[in-house]
Amino acid sequence: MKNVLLKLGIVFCLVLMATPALAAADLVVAVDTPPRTMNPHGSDADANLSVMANFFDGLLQLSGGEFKPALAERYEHPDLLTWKFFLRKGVTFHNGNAFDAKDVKFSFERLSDPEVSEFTNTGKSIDTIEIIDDYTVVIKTKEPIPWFANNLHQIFIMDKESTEARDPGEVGQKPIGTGAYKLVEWVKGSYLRLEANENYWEGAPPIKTVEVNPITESSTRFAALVSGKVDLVTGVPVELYDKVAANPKLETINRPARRAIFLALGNAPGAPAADIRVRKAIYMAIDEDEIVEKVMRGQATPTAQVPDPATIGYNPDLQRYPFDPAKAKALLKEAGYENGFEITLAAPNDRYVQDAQIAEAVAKYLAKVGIKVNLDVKPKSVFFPEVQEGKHDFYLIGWLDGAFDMGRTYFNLLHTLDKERGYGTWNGTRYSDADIDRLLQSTTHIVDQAERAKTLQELNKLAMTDKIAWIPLHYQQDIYALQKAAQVKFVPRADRWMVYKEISK
Amino acid sequence: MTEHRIKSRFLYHYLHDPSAIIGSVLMVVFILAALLAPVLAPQNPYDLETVSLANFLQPPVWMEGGQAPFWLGTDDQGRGIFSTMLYGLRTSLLVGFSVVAVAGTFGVLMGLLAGYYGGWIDVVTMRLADTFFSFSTTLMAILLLGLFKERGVITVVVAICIVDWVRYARTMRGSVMEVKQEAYIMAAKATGAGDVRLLFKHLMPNAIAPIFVVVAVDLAVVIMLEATLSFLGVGVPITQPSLGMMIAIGKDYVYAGMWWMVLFPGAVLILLVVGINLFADWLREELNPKIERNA
Repeated sequence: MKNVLLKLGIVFCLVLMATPALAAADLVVAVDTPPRTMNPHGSDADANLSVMANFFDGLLQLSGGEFKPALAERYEHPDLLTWKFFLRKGVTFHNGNAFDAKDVKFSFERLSDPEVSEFTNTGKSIDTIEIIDDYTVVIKTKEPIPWFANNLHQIFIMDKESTEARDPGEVGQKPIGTGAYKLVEWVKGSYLRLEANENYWEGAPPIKTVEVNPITESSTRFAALVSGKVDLVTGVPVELYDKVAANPKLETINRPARRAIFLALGNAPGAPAADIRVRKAIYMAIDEDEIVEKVMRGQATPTAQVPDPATIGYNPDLQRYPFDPAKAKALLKEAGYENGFEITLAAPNDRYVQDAQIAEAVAKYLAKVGIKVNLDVKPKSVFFPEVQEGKHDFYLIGWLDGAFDMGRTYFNLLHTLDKERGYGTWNGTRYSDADIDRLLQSTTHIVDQAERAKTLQELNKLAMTDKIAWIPLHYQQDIYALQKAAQVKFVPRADRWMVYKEISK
Repeated sequence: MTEHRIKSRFLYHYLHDPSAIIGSVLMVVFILAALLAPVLAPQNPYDLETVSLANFLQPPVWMEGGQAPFWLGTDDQGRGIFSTMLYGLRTSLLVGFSVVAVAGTFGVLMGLLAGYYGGWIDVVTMRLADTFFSFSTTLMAILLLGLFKERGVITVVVAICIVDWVRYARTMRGSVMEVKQEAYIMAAKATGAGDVRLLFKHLMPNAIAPIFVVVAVDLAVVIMLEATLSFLGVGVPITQPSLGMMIAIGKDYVYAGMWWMVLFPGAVLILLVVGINLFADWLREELNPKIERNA
């Protein structure tokens, strides 16, 4: 018995001694959202992809705002449906297995399995995957998808052998990719430790060890930064921005975010919002400038559309309808709603910057023109499934197009729901407009980028100005804070991913 | 001892116990404040037509930038802290008294039946009570609220009642078991009194005293629980005023130096709970003959 106690004591001392050594990573980061899984196809949320991008590579990569070769050295697009990829040779997975065409085929086929993938839309859009030789793959899509290549930086390639050999639970815990980092340890809800992959095909990354601490509570994240426990935090809360900016030890980096926050509003026949005058009234009743100034503390930019300037289809000519409550009241009167009506506004309260507070502000503005708004604010885990089920016909949501093509966003969010073809899967309000659908359908055959941009801009104008399909609010601002003493060279990405191979000291 | 003398003894002890006086004064002040909220509050913070974002994040009136009528400053949505607190007190006390009334009545009845009849009704009630007691009430309430689709004051009351009635049932059962042995109960039985008469005429009035203490203690527990649930975001919806929610909103601003959003509602919550507890302590000592009084 004594012996056992003694041994335990020794082990305990060793653990105590070992802990500080382990904790000293070259870079310690606090992020605002934890990853859900280590299965690279298991979640299409940015927070997850951001982590996966360190363990895995796609056929292409997005770097400095441009698509660059990754596991594919180059590709050809001989006709509307065909994509031919020439793969990189001599790449190995973390377990030593060689990367080749069968891994690509396996990974893309895996996308269609809803058990392990949230990229089923991409998976189902693929007709055939043909292996020409070990390093050449031809993918044919069922319908023309002009933005197919723009999505390939987030379709991560897995090792066929080890993924098939392990059970899905373990695949979701221990990533085996070709990426610049290997996962050392993942304590769910606490931290992730990453270690450089010295055999990385692009050369070993400059920072050798990274510790990622997901801290969802913004004031706790702030405390970790101020106390010097972390070198870099993402998602500095707007209410603390002034405080962080004034701290001489800290440096803040802001960049306009790609994500736009907007209100989705259904147009079911018979509902007040089926009347364009009501839609316009709601739009004009909202004082977006005040929301930006007061709720967002200046850390946002008002927008008249959903796609950001980097997305094909962004229309620089679009203007917001001005804030004019008197006009809004007049429009409501004209539409026969002089005494207003009641509507429920749903919103998540833990997803976007100040999401619930924006919803509260909107409710206030609408009350002032006579529309009674019931707020239905809930955690994202409840909110998003409800949106997809079509439970809400007025809700606040944010969006950015990962493939930089507004056509994809519109098919997903605004096209009339068509489950079979995978259209309108995120059209939670079940908004439907024949003109928008028709014009949108016509864009699938346009591959020429300039021509595409022209048609999509036209579509954007139709939807935002003439139809008021959504009520856009603002683009968020991404705010990061760094310890000056850590001397980290960090340039934030437009997609908010934390790709550690891009960071150096 | 006549009725009159018992009353005057109560009054005598009460008047000579400063903590009882402080406790009850606090309670009365807060109850009045809650009742008179529409009169006292300069603003109805939950009438969306009158609240304006333009007044957001103002400090209390004695600080630079503060202005009337927002005596204690405003929150991030332009609601006055003072007004919101008054309305929040209403929610706290409404939930507190509703739960005590509903859970108390049900619990007392179950305890009475379990204590008097014993047998299966006793086994079922008490095992249920054991089960409930083995989990933290906060956790149980969160689980229950997760099951309910609707959010609102009534949902919160129902959820808390479900986890709370066992307190009363246990106390009542114990008390009944004791009183049941008394000679006057035997006598009543011997004279042929029916069950209903026995239960409500003889047992209940003689066994109820400990329940008063439970009521007083429980009121504070329930108010705290509602605040906790609302703080965690599973209690009342954001369209309802609540002290717990005010603290939740304010905590994000503490590091930014805006202390008034947390301090005032926090202080009110503490004073309310302390007041009730002081009174409950006095009541317990007063009603429990086993405790020797120093006074």
